[in-house]
Amino acid sequence: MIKITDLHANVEGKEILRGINLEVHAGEVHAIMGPNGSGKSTLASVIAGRDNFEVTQGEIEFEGKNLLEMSPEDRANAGIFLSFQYPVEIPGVSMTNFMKAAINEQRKYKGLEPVKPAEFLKMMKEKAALTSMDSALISRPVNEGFSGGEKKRNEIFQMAILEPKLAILDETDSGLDIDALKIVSEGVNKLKSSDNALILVTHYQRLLDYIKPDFVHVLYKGKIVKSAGKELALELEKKGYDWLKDLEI
Amino acid sequence: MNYKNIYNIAANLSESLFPCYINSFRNRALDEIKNSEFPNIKQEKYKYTPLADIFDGEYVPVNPFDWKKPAESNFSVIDDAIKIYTVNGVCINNEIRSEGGFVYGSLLLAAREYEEIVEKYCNRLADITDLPTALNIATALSGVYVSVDPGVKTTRPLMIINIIDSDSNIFSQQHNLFVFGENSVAEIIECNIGVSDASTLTNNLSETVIKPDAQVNFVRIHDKGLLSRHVSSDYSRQYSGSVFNCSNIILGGGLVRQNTEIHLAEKHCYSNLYGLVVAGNKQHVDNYTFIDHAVLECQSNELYKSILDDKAVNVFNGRILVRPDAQKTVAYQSNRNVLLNTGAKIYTKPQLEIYADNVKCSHGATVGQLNEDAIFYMQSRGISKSTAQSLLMSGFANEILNKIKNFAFREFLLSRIEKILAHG
Repeated sequence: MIKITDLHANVEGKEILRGINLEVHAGEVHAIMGPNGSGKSTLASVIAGRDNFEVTQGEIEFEGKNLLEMSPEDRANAGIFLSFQYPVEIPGVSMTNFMKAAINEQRKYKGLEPVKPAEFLKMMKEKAALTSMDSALISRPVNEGFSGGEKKRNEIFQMAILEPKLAILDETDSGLDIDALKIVSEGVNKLKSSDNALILVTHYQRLLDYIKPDFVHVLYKGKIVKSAGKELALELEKKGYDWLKDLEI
Repeated sequence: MNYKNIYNIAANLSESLFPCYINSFRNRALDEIKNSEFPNIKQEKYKYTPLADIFDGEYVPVNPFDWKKPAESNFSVIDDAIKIYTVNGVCINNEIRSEGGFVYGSLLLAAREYEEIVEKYCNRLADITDLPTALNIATALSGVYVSVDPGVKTTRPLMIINIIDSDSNIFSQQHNLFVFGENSVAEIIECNIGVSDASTLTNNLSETVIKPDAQVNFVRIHDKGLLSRHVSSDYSRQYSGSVFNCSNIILGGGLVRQNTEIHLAEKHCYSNLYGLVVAGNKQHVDNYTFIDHAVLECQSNELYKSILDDKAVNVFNGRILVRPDAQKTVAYQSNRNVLLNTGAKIYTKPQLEIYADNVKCSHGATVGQLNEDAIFYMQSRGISKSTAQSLLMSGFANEILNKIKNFAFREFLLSRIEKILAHG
């Protein structure tokens, strides 16, 4: 589904990603772990197309397309979804209008007619129930005044509406208590299928108790230094990240 | 001819044309014009919008008997509204009507039929030392009169549609008087529009009296052509327990100077003053507001927002005066601006003068660009950058539009604003 080859990226002239190689297939769940500042969120942002990162080398191929040449909106419409670590508040724009605009752009991209109002409302209702999103939040401005947990739930709600092929969850567990984490993870698990894939970016093993990864990668100083099965996450939990300092990179 | 010629004609008009209570004000206004200069950049209140050059321009006086019946405009979208039309400042209703709880018609007729009310309020709220106001008092012949009787709770809005329709550079004026009786409820929507591409000049004056416990929503829209110049001086006086929601929405017009003064004359008045400016090209918009807390325990809340593109210039001067007797005043003011282009300019000046010691007052001004994080957030959901920008701008404008009670009109304005922004 996605193939990242020798990816290098800078932010403000400083090299953050220093040769990432990663391949994710449909049906797989990959966890990317690592200490703070290792480049996890940068990788997520570069895949989504944030323009304050400069890709200096390497390629990202998504379903045969050169992702790096596509605008962020085209990437989204092609099936990439980024769940933000810090979802943005958009005063004055209601969740309904926001999601309607998103759905219609996606349909336009696929050559479909705009969604009918009744169909749209039904979809919003169903997906809200599926992801335990409080329906009162849907009529409010995007993320404005939402609690930390509500914001993260809202990300998963949007993911449910947009049905991406590849979802990248950037530190979705940060700032969540155990109950909120459970609800969010349940939502994600319901959306999981053999046709889509997940990349979980996380600092802690905690999230992986609820969403089981097939592969765990350790990112350090902009490179994937170790890849293994889910047992690696447990090992990291025990050992911490200090052992990385002894690695020569 | 320029304003001096118009002044000369007015000065020579026979006093017998007007009721004597009007003449005393006309004479004072004529003196004021004779003895002062039209505002130039040296005058603080008009510093960024010196009117002298504009009023010195060449204009054609309006012939009050020469007008075309106005076509249905987009602004008449509200089906159930009661509508009054003026063309080039002339009220075309030739009678005073009573409908839906409103009494309305031309001020000239009302001066005869409702002499007692007109005499009591007309010219008495206006600041005659303000030159555009003085010029209007001295030389404007008529305008719109609207009143709501005490206790009447109207349910339909009243729309005043002021149309400028002329191929020549006309100078038009109108003087409006609104009187809302004790404990009445009303909504007024005033639309200033033009079907003219000429360099017209309009100098309007309104006086609004809000009696005890009355609740009034007043929405004023400016949406004229890029060559038009419009000066609007609006004076309101609130009495005890009244609620006044006033919104000034400025979308079109080459130059718009909007003076909005609210005098809180008795206890427990509540004022909400809102403004929205959406301007591009070389539009010049200047909002001067003055809220006068004259007595204790009144509350005012002021929010002005703007979205500026191209080489538009916007001025906000928000003056709030809390007089020594106005203890326990609550007065909030906020001015928020978004600049879409490096050529656009905003001059913002809060001006709080507080002479009482037990008050809650605050003010703030912000100038910024559209939030890049929000734009990327929307893009990451598949929304194109341009759609994301216009959603953000509509969202920004919505905070003001949401204050407008009438749903149909609010939706109409939102689509109008979206259209204006899409052109940018």
